[in-house]
Amino acid sequence: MLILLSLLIGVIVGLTTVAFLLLTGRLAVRMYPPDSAAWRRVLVPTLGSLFSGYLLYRYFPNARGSGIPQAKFALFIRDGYISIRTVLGKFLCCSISLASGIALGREGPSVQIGAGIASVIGRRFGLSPKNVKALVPVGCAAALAAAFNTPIAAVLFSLEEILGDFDAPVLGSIVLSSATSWMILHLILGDEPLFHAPAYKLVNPLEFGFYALLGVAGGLGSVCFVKLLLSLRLWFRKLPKSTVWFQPAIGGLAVGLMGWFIPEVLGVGYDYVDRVLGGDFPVKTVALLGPLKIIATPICYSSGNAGGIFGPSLFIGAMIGGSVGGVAHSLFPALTANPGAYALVGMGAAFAGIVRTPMTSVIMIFEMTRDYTIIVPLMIANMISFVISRVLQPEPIYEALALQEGVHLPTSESRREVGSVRVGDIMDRNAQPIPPDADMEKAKSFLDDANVGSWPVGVAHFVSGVVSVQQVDSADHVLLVRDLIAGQDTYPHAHSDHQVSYVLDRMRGEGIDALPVVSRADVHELQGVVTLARILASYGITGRRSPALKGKDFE
Amino acid sequence: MSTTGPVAALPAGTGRPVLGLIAVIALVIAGLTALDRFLAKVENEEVQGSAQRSYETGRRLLGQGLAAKALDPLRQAHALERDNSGYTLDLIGALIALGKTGEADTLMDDILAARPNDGEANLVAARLMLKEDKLDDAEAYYHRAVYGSWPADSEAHQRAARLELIKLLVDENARQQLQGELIVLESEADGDMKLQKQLAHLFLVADAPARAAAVYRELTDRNPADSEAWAGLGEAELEEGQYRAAQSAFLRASNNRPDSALQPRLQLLTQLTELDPTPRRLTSMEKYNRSLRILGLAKSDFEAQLASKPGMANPDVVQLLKEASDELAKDPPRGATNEMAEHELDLAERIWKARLAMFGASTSTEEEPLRLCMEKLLQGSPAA
Repeated sequence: MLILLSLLIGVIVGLTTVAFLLLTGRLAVRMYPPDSAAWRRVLVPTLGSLFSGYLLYRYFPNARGSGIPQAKFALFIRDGYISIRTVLGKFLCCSISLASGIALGREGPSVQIGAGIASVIGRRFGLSPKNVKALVPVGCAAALAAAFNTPIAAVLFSLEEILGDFDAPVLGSIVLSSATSWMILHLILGDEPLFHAPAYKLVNPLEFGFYALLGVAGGLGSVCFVKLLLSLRLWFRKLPKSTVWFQPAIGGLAVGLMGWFIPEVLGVGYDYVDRVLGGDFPVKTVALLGPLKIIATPICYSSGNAGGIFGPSLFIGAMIGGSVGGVAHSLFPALTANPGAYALVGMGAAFAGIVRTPMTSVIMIFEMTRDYTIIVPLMIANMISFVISRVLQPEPIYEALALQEGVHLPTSESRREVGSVRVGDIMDRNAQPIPPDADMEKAKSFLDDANVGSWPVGVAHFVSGVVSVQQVDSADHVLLVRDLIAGQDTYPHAHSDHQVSYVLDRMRGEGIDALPVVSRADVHELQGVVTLARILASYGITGRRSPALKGKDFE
Repeated sequence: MSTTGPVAALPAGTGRPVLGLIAVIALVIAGLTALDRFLAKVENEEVQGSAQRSYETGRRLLGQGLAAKALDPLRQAHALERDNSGYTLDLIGALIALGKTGEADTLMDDILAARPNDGEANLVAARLMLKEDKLDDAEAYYHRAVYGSWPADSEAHQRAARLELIKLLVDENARQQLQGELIVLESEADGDMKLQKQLAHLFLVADAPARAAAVYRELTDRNPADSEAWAGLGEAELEEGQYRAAQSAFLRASNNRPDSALQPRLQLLTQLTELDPTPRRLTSMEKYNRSLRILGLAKSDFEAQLASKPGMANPDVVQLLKEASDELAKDPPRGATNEMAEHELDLAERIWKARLAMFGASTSTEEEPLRLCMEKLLQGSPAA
């Protein structure tokens, strides 16, 4: 069933995303005919954002913004619920605003549309909220695969950013939907990478220094972008509610005025990124475009326009990279590659710094350009940018935006931290099992003293089973503990590398509150005992403590 | 990883009209597919149209020699239709014209990686290499262009590519390779008088006057009124040292098309035919007299050179000139022999060699008859 649904989601999301991309592109061409007058560059974004802003305010309030936080709201707060109205609203409003030249991207909205389609399909098939929720990242991956033409990065993004878990059980479905959607894209639009970068290579090992410098610049640029966006969003939120419907027009007007003088600021600007990647640009223009986009996109986004920040992140990164590369190449032409190579690495660095998904970023740039040779510099710059961004702006952008909305989303980092508590960290390594030759009275006494409902049975570091209070209470007094476990071919246990969440699930399933921690090589080799009390204590919750258990020897 | 994941199968007995749902989904897929195909078609048409317009603008500007202005529209066309190698190659052409070889190199690598045997791509690559002064690479790419595949009219394109290569070889003065290319071209030039004329001229440049003369003769046989061919034949005969034949050819050219430009050549040949000591028909006396004239000219020329750069004369030179003066001062003999003439010519050759060693070859028009005669004597060319 899941395979079929994943395929279905891949197909429908792929088709919808392709329609969204094509429609936005064709509309934009009509908004800005070749050699059109400069006044259009002011009027069109202003009117476009005013119109889409009114639609968002009046009919589709949940379609505002990027789409990534909204998909996460649905996933973590609304049991995967996204309405068909939101999907349609996102499609319509984004098509209008993006075609009018708003400096936002189309990939974030695609993700929300994809998540929404997955949610709608799940509900229409009568799935439970839990299962609908599981489909949301499947839709996200399908959308991103088609929007960016990057199926692997889409899978990674769903795991790294949306779910925050690389071991998610829906990984197979995510891969399937991503691949299906990508195939749909190729069937309709052919095999063209999003960007065309010439095959660059490392000219000299000293270049790593310049790439590291680019990582620093990318990180600082990312922090500026995120901080400006968050503070502007906060400012707009403080404006009277009655102004919400025309706030997007402020963003449209601002970017239009910039576009009056420098048309490249308008829209997502992938054409210009392509040129920069080809090494064809004046450094002065590129150096100007980076900061302008860092200003334009936050204004457009914060004022409430519908559109994403993925595309602008790549644009900003390319301009920062082009600037750094241009300067480096003019100073050390023999030691450095064409500035286009730096633009390519800069894209990844800015994406890693702004979106905070360094793994996705590396793979995405590789897939977008199909250039493997630049991957090592890319990784270096990405990690530096990511670290700088995390230090200077601890709250990731999507979580911070959600927080402004009053929603406390779990960050991918926090989810990883929670998940990273392992049994080995909290188990009692000195705990002794109940000897098999103990009688019921002694066993009962041990369990009472320890204040636990179950305990492993064994000798020293050899475990042979688990007994519970219920078994002891209901057993004949003449029996020994070994008689209780005589029928146990297998017994519940945990391994030291298990996450505590797994142990909790296991305890709930077995109805016990203590598990033997055994070796993976030998299931009878006792390494320690993990109890519910210890798990709670590891999270700072005290109560059902059993101090007597710690290091207690059975007599 | 779970293969079934957390999603359960459709709950039984929900009463949902599953078939209806499937039908709706099928309709949605069909509708979206139709929409996508329509939008993709519109986009393709618009993009191709826009690319074509940009390309035509770029081509027009490039044709007018405005490569800088042509660059943007050509770039636009290339960006819109990257698969169109024609757009890419013209963009590379504009970049070469503007000296932006780095960017051109990158584009060229891509296109050659995709179409390594494409004749046109290799021809543009050869031009790029030429611009970058990588002559060996240029030559290699020209060869690939000549033997590469061309979509239409391949013979004409291959010939044009070979002619470009020949031009490179002419510029590089690579005569041996040039002759090789010309011999191949000769087999393709049958019946094409324009190409044959070009070929004959190139044989002359390649220092193969006999072949040039043969081709010119073919041309004059076919069209005796072709004064250009007669003039070319004259040049070829002149190069070969066949002064009488050359004179005759130039006269035919001059008769067919009275041309003042031919007069200097005719004057030169008149001088040469009067000076040349090698014809067999000459009597020993006449040959001797011509030898003395050549010796006198060689001596005067050397003395003039020495006078222009005082201090260069050494005892050997002085001795050589004195020997010449003595020979010239002798009373004319009653009966001259071939040996006597050869003695004078040998002395003239020694003076000429010393002059060449000290001052190099002369380029002056006045000295041309002497130079040509001496060259012919030094080569030991057969008598006319």
